[in-house]
Amino acid sequence: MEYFQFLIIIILSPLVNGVIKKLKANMQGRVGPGIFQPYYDLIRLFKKDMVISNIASWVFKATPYIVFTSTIAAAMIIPVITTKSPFGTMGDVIALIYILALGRFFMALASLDAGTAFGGEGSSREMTVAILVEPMMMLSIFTAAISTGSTNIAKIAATQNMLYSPSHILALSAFIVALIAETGRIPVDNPDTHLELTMIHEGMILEYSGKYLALMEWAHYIKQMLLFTFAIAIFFPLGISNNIEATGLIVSFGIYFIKIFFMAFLMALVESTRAKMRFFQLPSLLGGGFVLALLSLLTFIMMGK
Amino acid sequence: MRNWIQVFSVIDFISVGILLTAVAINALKRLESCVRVYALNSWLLSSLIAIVAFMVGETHLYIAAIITLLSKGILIPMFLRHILRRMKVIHDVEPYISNTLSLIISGILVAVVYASLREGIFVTGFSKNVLQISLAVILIGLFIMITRRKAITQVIGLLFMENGLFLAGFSLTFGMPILIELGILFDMLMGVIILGIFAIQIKRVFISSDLDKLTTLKG
Amino acid sequence: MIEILLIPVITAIICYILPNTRFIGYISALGAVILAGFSIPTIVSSISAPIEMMNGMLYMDALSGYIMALVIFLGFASALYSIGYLEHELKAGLTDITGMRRYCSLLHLFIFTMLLVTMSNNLALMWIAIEATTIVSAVLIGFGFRKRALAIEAAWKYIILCTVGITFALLGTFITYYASTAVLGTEGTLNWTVLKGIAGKLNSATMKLAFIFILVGYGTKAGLAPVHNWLPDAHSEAPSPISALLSGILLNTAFYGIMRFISIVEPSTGNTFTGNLLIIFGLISIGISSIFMLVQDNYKRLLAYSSIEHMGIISLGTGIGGPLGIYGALLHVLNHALSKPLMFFASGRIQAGYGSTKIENVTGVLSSMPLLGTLTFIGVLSLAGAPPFNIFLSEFTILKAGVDKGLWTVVGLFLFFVVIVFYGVLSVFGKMLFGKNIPTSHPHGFPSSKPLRTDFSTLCSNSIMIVMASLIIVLGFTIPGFIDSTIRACINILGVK
Repeated sequence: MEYFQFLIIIILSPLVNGVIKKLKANMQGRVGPGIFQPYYDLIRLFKKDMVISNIASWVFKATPYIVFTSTIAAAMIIPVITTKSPFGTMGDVIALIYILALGRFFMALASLDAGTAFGGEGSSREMTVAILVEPMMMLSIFTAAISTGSTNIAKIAATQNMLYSPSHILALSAFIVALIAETGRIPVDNPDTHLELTMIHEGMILEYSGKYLALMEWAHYIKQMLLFTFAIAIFFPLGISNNIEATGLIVSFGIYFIKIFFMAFLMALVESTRAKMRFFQLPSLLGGGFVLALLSLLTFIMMGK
Repeated sequence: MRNWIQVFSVIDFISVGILLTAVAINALKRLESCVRVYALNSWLLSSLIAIVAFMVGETHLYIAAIITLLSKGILIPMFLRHILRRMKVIHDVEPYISNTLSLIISGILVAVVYASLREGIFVTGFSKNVLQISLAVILIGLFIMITRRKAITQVIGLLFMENGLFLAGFSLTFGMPILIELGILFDMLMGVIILGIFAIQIKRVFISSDLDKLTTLKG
Repeated sequence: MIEILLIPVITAIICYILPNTRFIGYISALGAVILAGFSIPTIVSSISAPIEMMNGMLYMDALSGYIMALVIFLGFASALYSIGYLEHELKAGLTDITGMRRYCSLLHLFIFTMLLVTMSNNLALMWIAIEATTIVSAVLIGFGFRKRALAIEAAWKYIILCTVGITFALLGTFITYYASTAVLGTEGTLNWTVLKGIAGKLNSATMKLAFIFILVGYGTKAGLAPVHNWLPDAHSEAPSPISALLSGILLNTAFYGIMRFISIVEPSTGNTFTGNLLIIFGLISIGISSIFMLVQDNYKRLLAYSSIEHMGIISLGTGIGGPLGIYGALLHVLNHALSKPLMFFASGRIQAGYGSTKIENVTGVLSSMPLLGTLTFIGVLSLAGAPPFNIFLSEFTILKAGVDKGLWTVVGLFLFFVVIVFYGVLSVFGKMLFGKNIPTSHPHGFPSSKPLRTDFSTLCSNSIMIVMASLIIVLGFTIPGFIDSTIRACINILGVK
C-alpha cells in the first residue's frame, strides 16, 4: 500500500481543484461548476485532436511528458498518509524543489518554442515569479528542517509536531505566500481566465491543445495538491501514520482528507477576499514574504525552538 | 494557567508579534494603516506586560500594563488619527527607499541585532529574546524616521522607538516605580501632542507636509 | 527646597491666567526675582552639605547648587531682557498680547524643568526633566511661527533630533539599573547617591556600554558633534532671550547629566575610557564648529556654532580630567554662561535695530548704538578667548591641564582650532561693529539719525547686559573665593583625585 500513496495525489488532484472552485463559487454567491468537472474536462481533452504550431521543435512535444513525469516523481517522494515509504529516503526537501524546477524550466522553454508573443510573456513572468518565490520557500522550509534536524521530508513528518513556536508560524505564513504564487492563484495570477493580464501560468500553456493540454493541466493539479501535501507534511503533520498497518493508514487517510479540505478552504478564502495584484507590484508582495521567511529563520536561531 | 502560558510560549509569540508589527510598517503606504499598526504594537506590548505581571505576581506591573494600554494603545492613536484628519493627508509620498527594499533592510537590521547580541550579556528572568527584539524595534523605528518623508511618519517612527525602548527597559528592570513610568509616559504624551501640533502648522505654513521642503536652514 | 520648584510653576500659572496686560513682562521678571531670593539660602547651604528630600528623589549638593545658581541667574536675566524684547515684538506686530502671555508662562515653565534636572537624584527623573526641557523649549523656539516659517522648521528638527537622542540616553539609564541589580540583588536602584556608593562594584563592561549610550544621548542634547545638527537651526531661529537660555544654560544642564554619570561610571571603568571618549567628542565639536563658523552669513547662527565650540571645550576639559581639567571645565561653564547670553542679548538688540540677521546687512554698530556696541565688543573678545576676559582664563586652565598630562596632540589641535575661532568670530563681528553705519531701508526702521529710545524696558535690558559684561571683566582678572570653593567642592563630589 505504501508504494501507491502517490496515486492518491494523482487521482484526487482534479477533485481538489474542483472543490476549490466550488467553494469559491459558494463564497461569491454563485452556484459554480460541479466538483467533478475537472475530470470531465480532462477526459474531453484526451479525446480531442491537437493543433501544433509548425515552428515548434521537439521541446514543445516533449515538454508535457517531462512535466507530467517530473510532477509524478515529486509526488512519489512526499509522505501522504504514511511516513514509511520506500521512496522516503529519496524524499529530500531540496530534491523536491528542484524536481519542480525542472518541470517549470521545460514549460518556460516550450512556451517560447511556440513562437507567440503570449508565450514569451508568460514564460518571462513565470521566471520572475520563480526567482522571487524559490528563496522564500527554501528559507521557510529550512527553518522547519532545522528544528527537526534533517531535510528528509519523511523524517520531518515523523516528528508529528503541530505549530508550536513563533518561527513555525512565520515560516508557515511565508510558505502560504509561496504557495499562492506557485499554484497561480489570486493575488498572483488568476486561474480562471485567459486574459493577458493574468497570463503567467495560462500564458505558458496557451499553445497546447488536446492530449498535451490534458497532461499539462493534470500536472498543474498534481503540483497544487502536492504542494498542499508538502505544507501539511512539514508544518502540521500531526496524525500521519508512521507505519503501514491498515487501520493506521485508514485513519491517516481520513485526517489527511480533512487537512486537504482545510487547505482548499483557505485557498478559496484568499482568492475570494483579494483582488489580483498588478504584475509589477508582485515583487513587493513576494519581498514581504521573503522577509517573513527571513524573520522566521532569525527567530528560530534566536529563540532556539 | 501559568504552565499553559509557558508551554505555549505565549510570551515568545507576543514578542515576535511586536517585532512583526514593527517590520510591517515598512510595507505600508497609507498613514492611517501605520497608525493602526502602531496601536496593535502598543496593545501587544501592554498584553506582554500584563502576562508577565501574571506570571510574576506583582501588582504594580498590572498598573503599568493598564497605563501603557491607555496612553499608547488608545490615547496616542486617537490623537494621531485626529491630526491626520486635520491635515487631510492620506498617502505617504514615495519614500526615499522603496517599500520592498526597506522591508529587506529592516530584516537585515533584525539579523544584525540578533548576531551582535547572541551571547546574551543580559539574561533576564523569563526571556532574553525580549531585549533583542526591543533593540531591533528601536533600530527599525530609527530607520523609518530616516527614510520617510512625511512629518507624521517621522512621529510614528519615533513612537516605535519609544515602544522598543519601553520594552527594553521593561526587560532590564522588571518595571520601575510607578511614578517613574507615569513620568516617562506623560513626557512622551506631551511630546507627541506638541509634535502633532507642529505637524499641522508645518502643513499650514509650508503647504505640504513633505519634509523635503524643510531644508531651508542649511550650513 | 520644594519652594524653589514651586515658584516658577506658580509664576507660569499666574502669567497664563492673568488677563491680557502689557505689563506681563514685568510680572514675569518679578517672579524671577522672587525665585532668586528664595533660592539663595538653599543653594548656599547645599554647597557645604548636601540636602536630600522626598524619599531620595530630590537631592542637592555643590554641583547641583552651582548649576542651579546659573539657571536662576540666567532665568532672571532672560526675564528682564524679555521685557524689552516683547515690547519690541509687540510694536513690530510680530506677536500679540496673548502670545506675550504664553511666552512668559512658558519661560518660567522652562526654568522649572531645568531646575528639576539639577535637583533630581533619581536618574530616570533626571531623564524626564531633560525630555521636559526639550518639549517646553521646542514650543518656545517655534514661538511666533505664524510670521516666521523657519522657526517651525527649526523647532521640528530640534524636537525630533533631541528626542531621538535622549531615547538612547534612557536606554543607557536602564542598562545602569541592570548593572546595579547585579550588585544590590533584585531591587536595583536609580538613585545617584546609592549608585555612587556602589560604583566601584558595578560591572565594568556593562557600565562602559551604558556610558556610551548616555554620552550619545545626552551629548545630542548638549550639542556635541557629530550629533549637533539641530543646534545651529534651533538657536538661531529662537527668540533672542530664549537663545540665550538655550546656549547659556540648557546645554550645560545636559552636560551636567553626563557629569553625574561620569562619577558613577569612572570608579569601575577607570578614567581612560571615559576621558578618551570625551576628548574625542570635544575635539570633533571644536573642529567642526570652527570650520563652519568661517562660512556663516548669519550672525546668530555663528553664535550657535560658537556654543558648540564652547561645549566642546567643556567636554575636552572634563575628558582631560584631573582636578585641574575639571576645574577648568566647570569654570568654563560659568564663563560661557555669562558671555554667550550677553552676545545673544546684544544680537537681539542688533536684530531689532537693523531688522536683519545677515552679517552683510549690519555695519557700524559702534557708531549707531555706542553702548550696545561696546557691550558687544566685550562679549566678542570674551568669546574669542582673548585676555583679559573670563573665557581666556578657563581655556588656559584646560590647556595647562592638558600639558600637565602630556597630551600634546590634543593640546596642539585645541590651540589650532581656537586660533581659527578667534579669527572667525573677530572678523565677522569686527565687520559688524566698526565702520560707518549705512542706513538700510527695511520695515522696522533704523535710520541712523534717530536716537535710541530710552524707555524703561530698554533700560532693563541695558542694565542686565552691563552687569553681565562687568562680571565678564571681573572674572577675567580674578576668581572670587566663593566660586573657587564651590568648584572645589564640585570636584570633590565628582570623585576626582
